[in-house]
Amino acid sequence: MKISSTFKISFVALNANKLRSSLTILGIVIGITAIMVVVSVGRSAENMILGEIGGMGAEMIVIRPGKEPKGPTDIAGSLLSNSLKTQDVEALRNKNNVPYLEDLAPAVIVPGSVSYSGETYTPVIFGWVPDLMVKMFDIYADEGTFFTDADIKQKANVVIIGAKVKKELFGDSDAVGKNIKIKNKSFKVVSTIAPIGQVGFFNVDDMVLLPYTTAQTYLLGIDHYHEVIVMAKSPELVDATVVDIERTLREMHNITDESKDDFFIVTQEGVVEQVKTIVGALTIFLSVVVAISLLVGGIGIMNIMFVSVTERTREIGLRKAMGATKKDIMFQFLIEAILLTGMGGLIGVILGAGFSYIGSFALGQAMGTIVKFSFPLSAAILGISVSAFVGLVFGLYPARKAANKDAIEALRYE
Amino acid sequence: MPLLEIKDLKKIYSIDEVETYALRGVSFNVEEGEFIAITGPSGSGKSTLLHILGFLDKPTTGEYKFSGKMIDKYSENESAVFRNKEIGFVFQSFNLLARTSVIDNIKLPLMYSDIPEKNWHNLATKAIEEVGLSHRVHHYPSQLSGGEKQRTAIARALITNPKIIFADEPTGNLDTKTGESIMAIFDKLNRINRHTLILITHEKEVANYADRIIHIRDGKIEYDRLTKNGKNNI
Repeated sequence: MKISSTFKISFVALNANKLRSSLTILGIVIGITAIMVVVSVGRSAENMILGEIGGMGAEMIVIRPGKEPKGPTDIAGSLLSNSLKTQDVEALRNKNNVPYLEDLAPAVIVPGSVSYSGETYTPVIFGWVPDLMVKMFDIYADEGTFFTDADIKQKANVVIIGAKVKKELFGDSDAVGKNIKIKNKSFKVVSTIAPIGQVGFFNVDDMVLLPYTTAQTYLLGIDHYHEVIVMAKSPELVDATVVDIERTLREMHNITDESKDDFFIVTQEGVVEQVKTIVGALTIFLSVVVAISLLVGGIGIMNIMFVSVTERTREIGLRKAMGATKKDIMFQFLIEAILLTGMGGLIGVILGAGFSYIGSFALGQAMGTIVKFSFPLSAAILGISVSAFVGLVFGLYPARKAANKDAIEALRYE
Repeated sequence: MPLLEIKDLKKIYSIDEVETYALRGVSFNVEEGEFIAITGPSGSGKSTLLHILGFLDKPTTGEYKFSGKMIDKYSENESAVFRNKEIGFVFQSFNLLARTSVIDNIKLPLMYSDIPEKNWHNLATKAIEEVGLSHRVHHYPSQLSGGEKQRTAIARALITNPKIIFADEPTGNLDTKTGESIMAIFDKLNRINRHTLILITHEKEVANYADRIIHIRDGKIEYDRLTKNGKNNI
């Protein structure tokens, strides 16, 4: 028997009971939609996070004060902790302590806004070291020159502003040489950064940079750092460098018990692993939910196939009388079940793709960045094959029952 | 060589160790081109006989030769292939597939044959012409009268050009006039197209279209005789 005829018969049969067919595949549709959404949104989130980290260079190590955050409240704690200080930075700079350190820069974050002749804007204000930023982000000065180590030492009142900040405050006129105000203190703009957009977690265009010493002394009145950024000599040396940093800082802080660490270290690899672990765990959990939904859906398919076989007993008898073999009948009902679940899978894939698109858009809005929607082709193929497989498995028994019907009995069936 | 040779055919059903004889030893031959009516009261075993002759059932004992071949050793699969190739069935209740057009209903046996799909349409068109339904090709069974339904079923039985056509009470669900028109088609198929026909009926008028009547009662042949037609025909 021709496969095309089989498909045609199955299609006619399913089409005859549209409502029943649609209700039957609902479970499958939901299951596959869930697969798609989980895989797609999971991957979008992963891509987004990994992409952001990826922009920062694999050599980068970030040391933050306080305990490693396990939840949102811990992050605030990290900003308030004052465990990273000048002497720590000096110790880390010592080649005997951390031999593979290429460069290092402390950073502080200044909350607040900037203003120039009546225009006010709220950028991200960092006390930092431009040298390291150049190495990390590949940025360069559009106009003027970046401030130097000498400026940092002197706690000079100088700032570098990002392209967007410049536009907000100065429009099209020159910015370099002008004085802007942060917390009522005057700072001279020495340079603007060429537009580059989002790099890593930072929108460089939206940044204002000033010497961290200046920020600590005149704006924040603190003597600790919010972050210390370290560059290892190469990505391969990151792990060794992390070990050295931990040892050095524990020595500096007289810590013997690792669990009492008053600092924590973030590396690209660490974050990548964390993200993958979270996404992986989520995927496994939801896969179980999906599997259950497919199982329930499959049982529904089996049930409706039994009904269909019974309803069409006479048809089976007729086909047998006309020369259909057991195999032909079995095949026909199997194809019907597979077609049914396959269609459920297809609808699920389409719905899932739609929801994922909306989901990644919403995620982007929530995170304040653009989350690129990626259609998970592998999940789509997996979804359709899994649903077809469900049809095969749960259609097998009803199809066998149909094939084994006695032709004479079947023809007499009322 | 006769087309069908059956010798001492017996069919015993055992249900709960109670044996019921449906056929108690039936023997006769059918020549190619014959038109036979099997008659008898209900429960006489005529349906069982038709099922055995049509490869839908197997005798408990006895011989059945089709074109000289013993067929009692045929597997279920071989029987199906054989039914498809050599046998056409027409049923009392038409057994058309709803939601399937006349032409697709007629093509049904071709689905299980090895006839290439490109020939299907021509074969179906030819079969439709034979039964005079060319104006109803794309209609659905629900749009047909009883007579038209039965003609569709006859066209379906004809399409594989089988050696023999079995009709089980083909006029049983039709009024007298329509029944006559259906019998006229059978008559034509036999006398002009030389199809071998065996039909079951309990109506005398219907049986008289045949050349020969085999009357069965209690699982045995009561009489086997030529009709007026038969005498003229031979």
